[in-house]
Amino acid sequence: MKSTQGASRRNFLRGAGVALALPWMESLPLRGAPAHKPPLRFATLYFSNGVEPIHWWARGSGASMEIGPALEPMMPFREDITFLRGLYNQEAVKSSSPHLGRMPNLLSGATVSLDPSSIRVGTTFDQVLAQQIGSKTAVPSLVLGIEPNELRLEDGLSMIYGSCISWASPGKPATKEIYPARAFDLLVGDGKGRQLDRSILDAVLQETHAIKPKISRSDGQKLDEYVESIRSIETRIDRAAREERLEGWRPTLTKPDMPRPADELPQNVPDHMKLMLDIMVLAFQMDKTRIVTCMLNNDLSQMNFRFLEGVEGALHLDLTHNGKAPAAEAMYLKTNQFHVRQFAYLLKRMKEIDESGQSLLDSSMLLCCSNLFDGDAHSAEQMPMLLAGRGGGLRPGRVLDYLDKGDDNRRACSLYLSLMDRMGVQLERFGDTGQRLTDL
Amino acid sequence: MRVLLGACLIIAVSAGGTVWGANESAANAAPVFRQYCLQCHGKTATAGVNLEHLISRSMGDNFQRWEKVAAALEQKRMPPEKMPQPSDGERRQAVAWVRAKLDDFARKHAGDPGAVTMRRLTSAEYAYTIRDLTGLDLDVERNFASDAAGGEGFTNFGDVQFMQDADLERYLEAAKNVAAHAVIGSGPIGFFDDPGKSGLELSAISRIQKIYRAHGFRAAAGEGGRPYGLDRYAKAFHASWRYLHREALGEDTATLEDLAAREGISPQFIRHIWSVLQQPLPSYPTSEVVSRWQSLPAPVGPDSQKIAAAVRAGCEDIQRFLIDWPRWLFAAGAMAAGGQGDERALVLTDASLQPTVTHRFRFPLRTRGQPKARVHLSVVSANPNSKEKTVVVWRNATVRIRGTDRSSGPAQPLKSLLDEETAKKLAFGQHPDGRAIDPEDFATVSDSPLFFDLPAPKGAGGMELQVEVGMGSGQSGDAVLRCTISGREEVSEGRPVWALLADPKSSGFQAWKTGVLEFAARMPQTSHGEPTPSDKDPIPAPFDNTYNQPERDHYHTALKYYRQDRFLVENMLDDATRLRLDQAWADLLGSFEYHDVFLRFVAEKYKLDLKNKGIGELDVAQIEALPAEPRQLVKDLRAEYDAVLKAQNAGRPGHVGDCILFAGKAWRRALLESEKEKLRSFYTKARQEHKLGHPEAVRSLLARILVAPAFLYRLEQPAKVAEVRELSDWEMASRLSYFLWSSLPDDELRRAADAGELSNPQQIERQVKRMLADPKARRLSTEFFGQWLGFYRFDQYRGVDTGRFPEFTDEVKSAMYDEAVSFFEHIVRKDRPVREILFADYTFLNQALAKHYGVQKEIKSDEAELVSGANEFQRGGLLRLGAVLTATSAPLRTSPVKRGDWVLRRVLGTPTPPPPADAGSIPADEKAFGGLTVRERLAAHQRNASCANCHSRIDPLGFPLERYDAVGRWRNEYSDGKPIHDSSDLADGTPISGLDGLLRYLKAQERQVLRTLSSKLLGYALGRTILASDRPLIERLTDAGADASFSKLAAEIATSRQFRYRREPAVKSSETEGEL
Repeated sequence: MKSTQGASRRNFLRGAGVALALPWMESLPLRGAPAHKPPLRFATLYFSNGVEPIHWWARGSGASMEIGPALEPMMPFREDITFLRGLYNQEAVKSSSPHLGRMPNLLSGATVSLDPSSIRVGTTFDQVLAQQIGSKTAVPSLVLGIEPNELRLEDGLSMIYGSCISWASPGKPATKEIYPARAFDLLVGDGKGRQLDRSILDAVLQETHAIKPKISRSDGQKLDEYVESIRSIETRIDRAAREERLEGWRPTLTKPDMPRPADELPQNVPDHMKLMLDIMVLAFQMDKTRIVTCMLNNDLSQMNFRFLEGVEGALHLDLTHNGKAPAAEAMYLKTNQFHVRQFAYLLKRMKEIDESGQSLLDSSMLLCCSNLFDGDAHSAEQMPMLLAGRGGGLRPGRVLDYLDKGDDNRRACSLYLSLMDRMGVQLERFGDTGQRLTDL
Repeated sequence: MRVLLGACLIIAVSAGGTVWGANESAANAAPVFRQYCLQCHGKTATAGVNLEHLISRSMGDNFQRWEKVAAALEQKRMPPEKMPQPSDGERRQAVAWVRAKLDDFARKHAGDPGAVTMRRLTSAEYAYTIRDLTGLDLDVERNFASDAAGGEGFTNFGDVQFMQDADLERYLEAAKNVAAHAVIGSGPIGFFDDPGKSGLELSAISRIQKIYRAHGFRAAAGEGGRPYGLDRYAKAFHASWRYLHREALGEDTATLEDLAAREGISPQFIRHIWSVLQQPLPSYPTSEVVSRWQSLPAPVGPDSQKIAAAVRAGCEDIQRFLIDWPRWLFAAGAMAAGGQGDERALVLTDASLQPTVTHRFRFPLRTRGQPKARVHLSVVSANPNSKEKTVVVWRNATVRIRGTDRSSGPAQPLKSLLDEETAKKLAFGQHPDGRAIDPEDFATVSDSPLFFDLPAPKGAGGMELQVEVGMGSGQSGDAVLRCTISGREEVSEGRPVWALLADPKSSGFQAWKTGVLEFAARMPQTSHGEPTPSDKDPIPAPFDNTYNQPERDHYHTALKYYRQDRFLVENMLDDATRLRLDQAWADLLGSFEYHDVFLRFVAEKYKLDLKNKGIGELDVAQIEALPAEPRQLVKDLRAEYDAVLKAQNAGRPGHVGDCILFAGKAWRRALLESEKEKLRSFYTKARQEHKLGHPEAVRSLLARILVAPAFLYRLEQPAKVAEVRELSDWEMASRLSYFLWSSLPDDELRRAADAGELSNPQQIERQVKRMLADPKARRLSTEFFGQWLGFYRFDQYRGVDTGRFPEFTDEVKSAMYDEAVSFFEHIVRKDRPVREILFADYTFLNQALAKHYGVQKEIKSDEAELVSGANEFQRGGLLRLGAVLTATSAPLRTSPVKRGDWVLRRVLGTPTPPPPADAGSIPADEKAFGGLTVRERLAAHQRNASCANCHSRIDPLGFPLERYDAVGRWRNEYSDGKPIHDSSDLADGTPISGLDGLLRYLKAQERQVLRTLSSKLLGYALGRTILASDRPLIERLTDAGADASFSKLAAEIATSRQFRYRREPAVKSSETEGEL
């Protein structure tokens, strides 16, 4: 990554809408945890198609916090969560496309290009983090998912939008790994025995340099993706082979404590999700990465929830757009609860893992969110967002209500800026704001 | 930097021409837009349409939106009814202005190749390319996760093709996987289904089998050995006869080889048979073949046809003799016919021709409840050179009677059991020459068969006759007798027991045996039914070939193979085939430690102490010191081992060259000398620096070729700034092959590219026609039609609730997919008129799908077959495809909205804008409609004015399909028994009734349907969105009409300027957008 940092930084600046390259970027203060203290981790768990508003609320605080039925799985974790009400992305609300204009920009606040010949959103803040601090770990960031990219257009737009919430650059989504075995391999790959791979990659890299002057500039830009990919792999091979660490802290786990998952995609959704969440925890515990983004489903997902008792039909068409029929509403609620239960599982596991006298959750910030509030109405005027963990000085057990604080004071990007600050990446502006979230 | 980019953008915009130019009609049109449109379609951008924004941009970039604007005005869909309406004149003016501007733009820029983002292979293209490169279906793309659709709705659109380390890791892995399947042996590099060493072994077997199979047979037989490919004998005899009589037949100049070719046999074989037939003094039984051949009638006389038939029949008789002779000699009974059930190898060898002077028979007799059992004794001379009759004496004949409980009684003398008459017939105690012999013995004379009946006592389960037979004293030593005891007169029909009687030391027998072995060697009579080098072979001498004995079993598990194809190699194969066969054998024996294992096998048998040395480690002195018998074996083994090593070494230098050829194919162009050199040095480096063995180094070289950008990306030379450039022939070859085959150019395209033919439109058209007829054009059906019409990867479709529709099994799903793919494959490959896409009266069904559809038609196959007259049972054409009807339904019910939208969007190409965010929805399940039908629910929805504008266009096109349920079946009512109304009124009042009505409507909209097909096909071919400048081409394609064949459209596109030229984007918008 090192040699391409300039290029990727330019990309992200452009995408994030930063006005100019700022000189302070050269000396980013890497405000990590002091030595012998576990590093700060950040993860996003995304579920699509929003919620039913009457089911998603919270009031009060701490152990006596009252929560809506969709949040029922959070009952044991009320002291670990921060309920955020009223955050939104301005560009999402402005977009005329009810789904794809409001989803791939969830984590960037950027405008989604509705021109069919140009795929463009904005670098998402998880990838800004990966580009800035990802080099501290073997894997800069993990981007996980359950459903593959959908191969069609939705209203003339590529469903790549609906399949990716993590974007490495404005025009390029971060590759989403849906195969548990491959995600697992990323964490345990040792770099040894890959010398031959390296020599193959070296050879094609040289060849690419020879080719580049002979092709057009725009083709060359496309080929840069290839060059960057080679460099990332080579860096990973080298880094894994070195196994050296800059900080004094040592992860509590050096070898995976779970078996390697099977090569195939798991047959049922709950197993698949559980595996992905376990891999997430494993990655944090082994300190292979500190940034994870996981999509439980794609936008417009037709995921079938028949595995939940009493639920039938597909998520988007049947359950989200349920015509307010009571029976269907009840099923929709079960799907919302199911998604929150995944988050609860993550919390439970991370809470149980001890790292130098504190839990893994204590040094983490976890975000559970969707891009729409009322899924049926495609409303993005606010988004369901739940923050968990005490990492970065978060003070959970609270309900933070921004809805009536004025539009400029309730930007999701303000949250992102605040979270990035804590991860050690301080930007002046991000997406639609230059303001940090108050009270966090 | 910013200044420079900004300047470029200005140039680009002025080159494109802004919409509000200094134009007179603009002055008239502008107020219309301002007055009637901008209130909603200005900054508020209702439905995403901002006319102010459009006006400020280049017409060409937004032509599709402008076309929609014009259509909406023209069809009075806009402004909405409740809003102030422009006069008809104002409408006309505004529309005319838009159209004129569009036409003007299109004319000016017609044929613009457009900017195409460089494309990476899609995962489907990758898989097809690997398949065409290696001949293997390795499923390497299974884990690729990087596809996305864009542009006109296809995965081959460069802007949605991304590359990141995770993708590249997969490419690297796939490349190594492909390379593992390379067969790196003594011949040129090939590919095989199994990887690595076992791939080498199995590929060698398959190559060997292929050669054996193609040439009929080889001279070995084992278990179940039976005639295979021996019809070549009759053909060879026939060709030889024609050659002999060539003058009389009026073919003086015909050569043996010519005549052989006519019979379909190899020149080697005819030369061999001819030489056998021309032997001056053939020994028996060859002499029998020769004399029979010589007595074939000459081609003289009036009835030449009759003679020809007689000769043909005669040749077949000779062949039959040839095959049957050993079976006759070995008295192989009915069980041996065809080899079924008889595990003996009827091979004429020194061992199988081992005679005895006396032999003791045990012959089981079945009484089957009969009062007596008949016994046939036969002594036949097998040696016609022995002229005298021979007497054999049957001694000490006894019979044991078994009870029904299988208990065996005491042996009783035969004589005591026979009636008087029979005993007299056998003449106990009498030699034919009158001498007395033992009173319990009897004698017979050769070639005088004899039978007698043995009475079966009541309650006997069976009997066993035991008797010893031997030649009478003082008999001629020349005699070779086949003695049999059988229950049938014709021994070949029963289950005879037999023995070969002769004096092994006699010169007569020796001469006879030599003759038989010669016969076996020159005209082998048996071969394998299944030509395999594997464990059906008899194991070689001196090992014990007895079935189920340890030595044989051990041989078969440890060594498996034994080459025994001398006849084939010497007398049937041409040099090139022989070389390939030798290479395959070298690969087979070199694929594991064959020779070392063999050596241990020999050491074990002869108790040799070889100190665990491998065959290659034995020196000459050590071998010479071995006892004679194993010495020869080990020598032969060593010679074969050396030959295998030599063959392997001989193959190696060619392999790097093979890789370079492979790279040329994979990279789809001719390689530069410097590139070849780099590949060679990669190999050298792998050997020297990474210390890899030859096969591993070759594999890594192959992997390296397959992760190269030249393989993964479709690279093209750039055009100069602001110019267009004609593509090179090689670039054209790739464009054609990826357009029509989703894969790389084949040999013919490569040849054409090399010959410079692909810059010639006629030649391009010729190639298009050829390529569309090729089986690979099925991929156009899956890739293009599948993505355009929404049944892409339908075999993996998960949108049906199978709890509700358990009938929708995986089998039905894949049959539906196959129906759709086969349907379009038919249109493409049979070059059908495009009209049939909608109006075909045929479809493709297999048994499962016919059952699912409830089609009362007998379909036997599991494979989809063409069924005509399909309209009769509500099938045929795009709209009735199960995959389409299912994919446009909701999981639990049909969706007229989805189906209507599909017709509007995919077939008519005139989609409505996306619904407003708060559109609301109708329930998922038709059971939850509270008594209302889908139609009634939607009617309520439509009453909402903001919905009506679009839904009045969408829904009427979906309702006519209501008679098909959510899994594509025809139905007469809803599941709750409510009737189905499948008629509707279009927004303009046109009524549409049912599917036929919808088809009639689409027929009336034929130009629009054709325009959609043309635009989509063009977008797919070019890998970009349609531009305004494509309109003239699209109109041309549309003008070709519904009767145009598919190839006409494809050829028109392939010869278009868009397809054959290239230009670079003026300025990549991503360079500027963020900073402006």
